[in-house]
Amino acid sequence: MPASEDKPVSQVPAAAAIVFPDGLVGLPALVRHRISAVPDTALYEIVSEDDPKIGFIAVPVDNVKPGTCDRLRDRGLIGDGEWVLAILAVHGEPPAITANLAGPLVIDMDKATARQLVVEDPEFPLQVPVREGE
Amino acid sequence: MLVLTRRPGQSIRIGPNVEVRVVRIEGDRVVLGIAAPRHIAVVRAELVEEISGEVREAADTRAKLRVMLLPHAGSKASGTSEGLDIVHSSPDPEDPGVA
Repeated sequence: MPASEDKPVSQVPAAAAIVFPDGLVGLPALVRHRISAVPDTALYEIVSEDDPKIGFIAVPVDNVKPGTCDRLRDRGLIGDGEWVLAILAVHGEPPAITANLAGPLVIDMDKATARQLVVEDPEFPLQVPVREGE
Repeated sequence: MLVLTRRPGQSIRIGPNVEVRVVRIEGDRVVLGIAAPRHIAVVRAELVEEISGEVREAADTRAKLRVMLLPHAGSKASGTSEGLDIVHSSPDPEDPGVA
């Protein structure tokens, strides 16, 4: 069952505080964040409240690679009620957009907590192309 | 750092639930077998470094992403992707997605 059926993204409030108790990978001090849905899109923006200069744009992992939530759930890496986002980044010139499936963000809106996984598996690449350079 | 010497077939234990066994040695590579509870992530250290770099890259390129994905930020997003339509589409027709 896709995570979105457990926790439809439409239930995510316009903006909500979430805590990453362990921070992000490589940025352990960034614990407090605010997540907001980008209107009229499937995108989310996550901005650090510890360092507002740092933020991310993310998208549900199943929008990048269908079935990803099921695979994570089958491996016991996510639980019921948790949904998963992939962080987007821009690389190269011309710029291309990639999604990070190796380090997905697992979010529990009921508890307002989140964690970043590290997934050691070729099925979860670090840079999945989602838009080629133009 | 604790340094131990082990031969192929020998193992070490870390805490009550984690075992690391030297399976074999191939040239300059050591093949390890690791038994650990599912909730303990076992990953290559360099993967953690790679993800850390990607997280920083994502933070550094957020403004560029906004321009590429949300050219009319504040109004309904427009534009099509050359690759996956991560902005609009939901791969599962039953996925409620966003309105």
